This record gives sequence, C-alpha cells and structure tokens, in this order.
Amino acid sequence: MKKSLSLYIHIPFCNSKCNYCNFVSKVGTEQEKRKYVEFLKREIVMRAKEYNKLYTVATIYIGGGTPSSLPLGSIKDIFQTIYKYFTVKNDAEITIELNPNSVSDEKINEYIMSGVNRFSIGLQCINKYVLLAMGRTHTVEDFDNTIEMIRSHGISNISADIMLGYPGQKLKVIQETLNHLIELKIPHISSYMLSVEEGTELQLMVDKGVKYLPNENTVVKMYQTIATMLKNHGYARYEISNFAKPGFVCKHNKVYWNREDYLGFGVAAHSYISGVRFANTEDINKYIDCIEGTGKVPVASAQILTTNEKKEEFVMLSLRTAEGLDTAAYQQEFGESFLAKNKEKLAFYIKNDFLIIDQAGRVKATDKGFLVLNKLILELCSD
Amino acid sequence: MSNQENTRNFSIIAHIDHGKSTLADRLMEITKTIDEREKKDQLLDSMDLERERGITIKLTPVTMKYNYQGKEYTLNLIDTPGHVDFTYEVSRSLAACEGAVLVVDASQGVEAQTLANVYLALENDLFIIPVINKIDLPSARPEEVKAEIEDIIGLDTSYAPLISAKEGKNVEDVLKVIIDKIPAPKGDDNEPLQALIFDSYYDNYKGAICLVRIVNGKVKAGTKIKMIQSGKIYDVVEVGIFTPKTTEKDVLTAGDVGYISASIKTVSDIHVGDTITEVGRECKPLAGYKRVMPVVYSGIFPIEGDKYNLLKDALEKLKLSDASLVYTPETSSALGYGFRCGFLGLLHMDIITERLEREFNLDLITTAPSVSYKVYKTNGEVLEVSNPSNLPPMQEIEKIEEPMLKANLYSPPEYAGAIMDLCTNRRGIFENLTYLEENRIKIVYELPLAEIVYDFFDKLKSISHGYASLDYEQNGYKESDMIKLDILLNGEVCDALSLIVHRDKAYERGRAITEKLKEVVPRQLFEIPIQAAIGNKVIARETVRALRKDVIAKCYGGDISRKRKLLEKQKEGKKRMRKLGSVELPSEAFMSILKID
Repeated sequence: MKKSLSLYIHIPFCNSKCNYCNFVSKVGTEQEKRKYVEFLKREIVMRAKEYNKLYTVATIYIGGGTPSSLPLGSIKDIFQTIYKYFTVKNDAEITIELNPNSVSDEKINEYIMSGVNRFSIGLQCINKYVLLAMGRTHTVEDFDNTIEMIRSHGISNISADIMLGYPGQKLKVIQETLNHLIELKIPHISSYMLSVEEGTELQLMVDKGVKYLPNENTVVKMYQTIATMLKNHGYARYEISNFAKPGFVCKHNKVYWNREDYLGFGVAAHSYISGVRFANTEDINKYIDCIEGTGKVPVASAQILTTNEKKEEFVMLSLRTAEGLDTAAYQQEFGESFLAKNKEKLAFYIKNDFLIIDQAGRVKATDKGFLVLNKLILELCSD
Repeated sequence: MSNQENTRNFSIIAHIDHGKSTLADRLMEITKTIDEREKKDQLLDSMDLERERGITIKLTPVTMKYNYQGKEYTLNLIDTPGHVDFTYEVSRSLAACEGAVLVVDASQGVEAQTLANVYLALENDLFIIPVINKIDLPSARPEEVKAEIEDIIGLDTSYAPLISAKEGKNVEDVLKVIIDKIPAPKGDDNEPLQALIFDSYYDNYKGAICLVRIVNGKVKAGTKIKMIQSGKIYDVVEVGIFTPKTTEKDVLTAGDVGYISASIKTVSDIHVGDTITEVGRECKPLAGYKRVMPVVYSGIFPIEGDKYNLLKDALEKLKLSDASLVYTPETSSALGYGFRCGFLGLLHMDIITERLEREFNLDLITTAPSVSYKVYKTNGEVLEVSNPSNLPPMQEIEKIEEPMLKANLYSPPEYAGAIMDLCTNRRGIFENLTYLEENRIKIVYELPLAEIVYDFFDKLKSISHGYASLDYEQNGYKESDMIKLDILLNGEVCDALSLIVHRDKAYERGRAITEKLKEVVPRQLFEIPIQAAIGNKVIARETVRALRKDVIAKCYGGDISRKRKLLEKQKEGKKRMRKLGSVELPSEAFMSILKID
C-alpha cells in the first residue's frame, strides 16, 4: 500500500504587505504571478515523477502570501496539474488561505470546483483601528461577506486566524473579536502571538518607540481569555495555537506535528520526507532560473536529521498538541525512556504545574505550561 | 670591535599619534636598514594588537648604520612602550640610552601624556632632542610649538629639526642632530662585563633571549655569564644585534645594544633591570633594579568548561614571552576550573585576555580585578589574599591591610579641582601640590591601589580632557576597613562575583551590582532573588520575575525548520551559561559587573 503524503503550495504574492509580516511574499504584477504559476506547475510535474509511485496525497494546503491574490483561473490550473500527476485520495482535505480583501464569488466558486473543501481566512482582529495599524486593507464586513459567500456554496469547514498582542490591541478587542467568531459559528480558530520580526515595518516602528506593545501580563491574559472563552463554547484546544469544534480539526496541520511526510512546492516551501528536511530557495528569480536553466528542483538546503535531532523534534512538536508526548511511542522509536532521561526536570515541571503525565503515559502541557512551552522544550532538549 | 666614539644609543618619545612609528620607519629607510620592498608600515610595532590600539607594548630595538662627514656611525634605536602599566620597563629602556628624540606634533603641541616619559628620560640623565613633526599639515604652527617646548620642558629648540616623517621631509636632519648632540657611550671594554637587561623575548628555537646594553666589558659565545640579581649562571650560545632581524656577531662590546642567547628556558628567568656579568670576574650591579610584581589579579575561566586544558596550554605559551604574567590554578563553584592571573595593570590584563581569545581562539570569563591584601588572622597567621573567595570569615580576621600607592598626577592647573575630587572619592589622602611650570602642576596623593585598578586612568583622562597624566609607585600597606561583599542568586553565594571592598563603598557597589545583574540574568520559570550581602546581612536586593510567557506561534511546515534553528541557537547559548544551583548565568553577567563604575 502506498504511503500518505501531504502537499503544501506556497503563493508568494499579496495585494499589500502587512506591517508585521516577514514571510516570503510581495505585491506582484499579473504577469509575474502568471509566470510563477507556470514554474510552480513544472515543479509539481518534476516532483510527481519521483513521488507518485510511492505516495497517495491525503491533504493539500495552499498558503502564502495570499493565494486568493492570484488572478482568476490560476488556482484551477494548479489543481489540474496536481490531479494529473499525483494520486489524490477522494476524501483528501484541501485547504486554501484567503484574505477578505482579495476574494470574489467567482474565485470561491473556482476553488470549490477545483476540489477545495476547507477555507482558512486571515482576519487577525475585528477592530478597524488595529487592522489599520497592522497594515491590513480589509474590514470586518469584508470578512463577514467572505464567510457568507463560502457558506452559500455549502462549505462549512472554515478557519479564522487571529493575532494577539499587537500594539494598541486591548484585551477588550480580543474579547470582541472572539465573540464575533463564536456568533458566526466559525468552527476552527488559530490564534497566535505577535512576534516582532527583523526587517518588518513594525520593527522599525517599535525601534523608533512609536508603538506601544502590550505588556507581558496583558498578553498572558489575552491567551488565557481565548482559551477559556473557546472552551466554554465547545472548542477544543487540540494544539497550542489551534482550537476546533468537534470534527473540524485540521488534518494537514497534524501531519507536521506527527512528523509525517509532506512536500512543499514554490519559493521558500519546506518538505519533510523520510527523516530529511529540505527547502526551496526563497528568491523568486532563482526559483524560476533554476527550473528553467537546469530543469532541476530549486532546493536551497537539505538536512538529514540525526537521531538526536529526531528526538528533539519529537519533543518539540508533540508537546504542542493536546495529546501530548506519547512516552510509549518515544520508547519504541528511540529505544530509551523519555521519563527516565528527564526525571528531575519533569519532576520540577510537574510539581510547578507546567506539565502533567496522564494515565496513558502521555506528557502534556498545562495552561501555564503552554505559555512557556518554548522554554520547557529548550530545557527538555538540553543536557 | 665597535668604536664607541661612533655609536649613539637613543630612544624616541612621543605622544600616541604624533608620529613615532612613522619616524622610526623613515630612519630605517634612510639608513637602508630596511628597503622599500620589505617595509611594512610601522615595522616596530610587531603585534597586531599593538597596531590596532596604536600603542607600542613590545620593545624592539634596531641597529642602523649611517655615514656622516666621512665616518660610519652605529645608531641604536630602542623603542619604548607608552603606558603607565609599563613605566618600569620604559625606565630600563631609557637607562640603556644616552639620548632621546622627543617628537612633537606641529599642530597639537606638547601633550600631557608625553611629559611623564620626558621626565623619566630626564631622570635617567638623557640628552633630549626636540623634533617638530607633521610640518606639512595646514594647521602646523612650528614656531609656537617650539616656544611651548621651551616653556614647558625647558629644552633648547634652536637646533630642533622641523620635519614631516610622513613625506620624508628633513628626516635626515634628525640623524645628524643625533650624532652631533647625543653623547657617545663611555664604557671600558677592558673592565669586567656589565650589561643591562632592558627586555627579553621568547624564540621558538633558541629559547628566552636577553636584550642588553653593554655598559662595560665584552661578551661572546662561550662566555660564562651570571645574572647578578637572580644569581643564575648560563653559557652564552650566541650574541648579535638587531637589523632589525637578529644578526649574529662575534662579540658585543661596551656601548653596544644587542642580544644574548644562552639556552635560557623561559623569559621568567630573565629579570628586566638585572645586570649580566662574567662568572669569576664580576662587576657591581647597575642601579635601578626592581623586581616586577603583579599589581592586579583576576580569575580567568573558559566559557566552555571543556576548554580548560586549552587555556592552560595558552597561558604556558604566553608566559614564555611575558615574564610579568603570573598564574595559578583556581576552582570556582560557579565557573569551574580556571586560573587566577596576576598582571602589571588593567591594560596588561586586557592585552593578555585579548591575546588568549584571539591567538588561541578561547572565549573567556574574567572576574572583577582585585589587588592582593594582607590579612592578619586572630590566630597570628598572616595571609596574602587576592581572591575574595579565599578571605577567611570576618570573625577570624584581626585586620586587613591593603596595598597603597604614591601617585604623582601631572596636569594644567585648571583641572586641579576635578582631579582632587576624583582622588578624594577614591579614598585618596592629599600630600602635596606644586607648580612645575606656570601652567603645569604636580599633585601628590596617597591612594589605595584597589581604587585605581578599575577605571581611574580613564576617569582621569576624561575629567582633564586628556591633559592629566599619572605615574605611581608602590607605597607599602595600610590597615583598612575592607569587607567581603557576597552576591547571592536564589539564596546561594556566587563565589565568582564576590568582591573585597571598603565598607564605605559596599552599599553603593552592592546596589549597582544587583541592579546590573537584574538586567542580565535571564528570566527562568521561577522567581530569582538577587542579593548583595556582607556576611549574613543583606544590603541590597533585586528580583528577577518568573518567566510567564514565550511567543506562541502558529506552526506550519516551514516553521519546523525555523524552530529547529531557534532551538539550536538557544542550546548554543545555554552551553555558554554557567549553572549556579538552579540559576543559569550568562557569561555577560560576569562581564557586566566589570563595567560598573
């Protein structure tokens, strides 16, 4: 039987750049976008030759940038290539990211006709001043309209992204944003904290001291508020930054946390196949030149994980999930006991309510632990 | 056999950027000691470090030949270092000369720092030739500068060459004046050997080499020599001069400057200022010898604990060429295995740590510098303590004596107030103030050594806009109310952060350290109290709050690689931290303590 594979497709274009964003994306011309899609398709074809024999595709995720910023017809084009060269399961989860400022009923219709059955929408916040400060060019009304359009096609699997801790964003605004999503019955919510990244507009503003960043206590309260409110409304926190109503857990994301195989296409896309991580170049021109000039896949870096690195990823990724770290699975994969190896550290973290161990021998982060998970992972991965 | 009549031994004295090295280069070019091709600018400063800091540390003599009025002259240039840490070495180098060339910048004029060395030269009865340099600069004012030299130092400037060493203008005049004005050596080849050691260095093949000025007598390969002060006896293997490469000679005679190689194992066996004589035919020792003792001590530890052996090897190698460096193994509960090292001063300490890091590729933690205290215990025992961790409990101490200095501070009168404030603040006791010239005073203070090892020199320069200079000599020990200030992290004493301080300064310092540590100690999953304490009494306290949150980020495919990298980086950072009980301390924490005023 063929193994399962997930595909990620990176679309490095946006209608405008948000102030906090340092991902590989730009505001491209229509010509640039069409050219990029051509080469993306060539990369898909090249990879398929190698992988289609061994794998069936279980999930597809088109992310960015903003996939919906591509001209009408491009997404359909990409999917036709995928279906032609890869074997995709009938029940595959197929997600596309949207921005409320670049959608139309026509586009949504195109996506659904192409097989998309899950939509992830970047909302970030409903407060118009915060949206303005973020450099986002949509309103909460645009978001509401987008949801309506999607639902009119009979699709209910929708996720919304929200950000916490943006300068000027108050706890009250977070509560309002969540209430709005709960009322709209959005079944999946991703929430994550602002991180001020190098080379962003936001960093410049923070360096100048212009912007006011919410303090640590406020951000902690924001996260706790989200966790509590969503729990009270029937959402489960199945991962540190993801909440879902029953039946709406994102399958594609779970592939990452479970260290299963996935292939990334496009600039800056990452892949993980049989213990090897590799990534494409981050430069669009190099990406195109490489495919055009050499007919080869533009891989910029590759890393065969050592056993130790695999252990670290096991810890790092599994502790993010509600299921936690399965000590039996750890023992089976690495032939050593996670509990014995970290006896003293675990005792300290459990005593101080950062972690718990359940009956099934799973180590899980508590509410308090999730907030300092990076630190816990660092400690558990150091000697 | 050299002709003393035709020999001149001199050094060059100059303020830091007044052109000493450029002038030395030009002199070597004119005398064809080096030719254009092998020339590397400023040949005398041989170590990179010196080049970067623009200071000369190592003394590198050179012998030049020059024809003047039909006769060939041998000119020996002995370079001098330019920092207060090395005052004694400078004085021995000057003692090897009959004259000195004082280089003064034609636009800057006489600078304060130069003067300390000028006075040192005058003390050694050297003939001083003023030379006005940089006359090519548009801002040059040679006549005014000449007047300044006459006023301030009292030298006759009527024959002073006006030169541009950079452009090579009138440089030859300097050679002529040296020959005309500086007295020839007046030694006697037939007297017993009497040679002054003014420096030493280590050669990988020949071992430690003495740099000497032959005062009387002669020395050649095979001569059995004795170092009078150290009492050590050696057979000479080779003698020679510097051109500036070492060039072997049959014999060195009275008046000569050169080297003696005698299978000496390390430079520690060679004491600068010592007199070399011949076994069986001994001379009197030359005056002015002092045993050079370290004045500042500091713990040096590798940041990565497993580099201890590399550090040990590196120190051994440095010690071969630097006799003033001393070290003994030391263990700290916070920093692990390392060494307690003694230095001539803070600059010397900087140079050594920088060389260790640069030449031996080590990352180091240096603890706060300390001086050596005499501790009288109630049971009659007397200890020398330079490491705060070795201080006995207070109840066992009858009294502590600290090393004192007699400091001479030279300055224009307008800075007298600021200088006296500084000295008072540093527990100085005023002794005297005299006018040397109309606009030059000398202030004498008795100061505790511990008070000047930190940043006294920098402060002095800053309050006097660079005009004040300092020289000092050790002045015995004095009883003082010194206490041990401990720093506690999460209730545990961090031995590497302990200090011996005067009781009056303990509060201020304790506060400054705890405040600084609060900034640099990374937050952990629990609260960390930082305390400064004298014995059981806490005198300052700060708290590092517990970490409450990291950044929670979405995790998509590409992010795993990002997270991997971040984790690697953090782990690398952790490796450089020192674990003290339950608290992790970055090496910067130790460094930052050094930077508190």
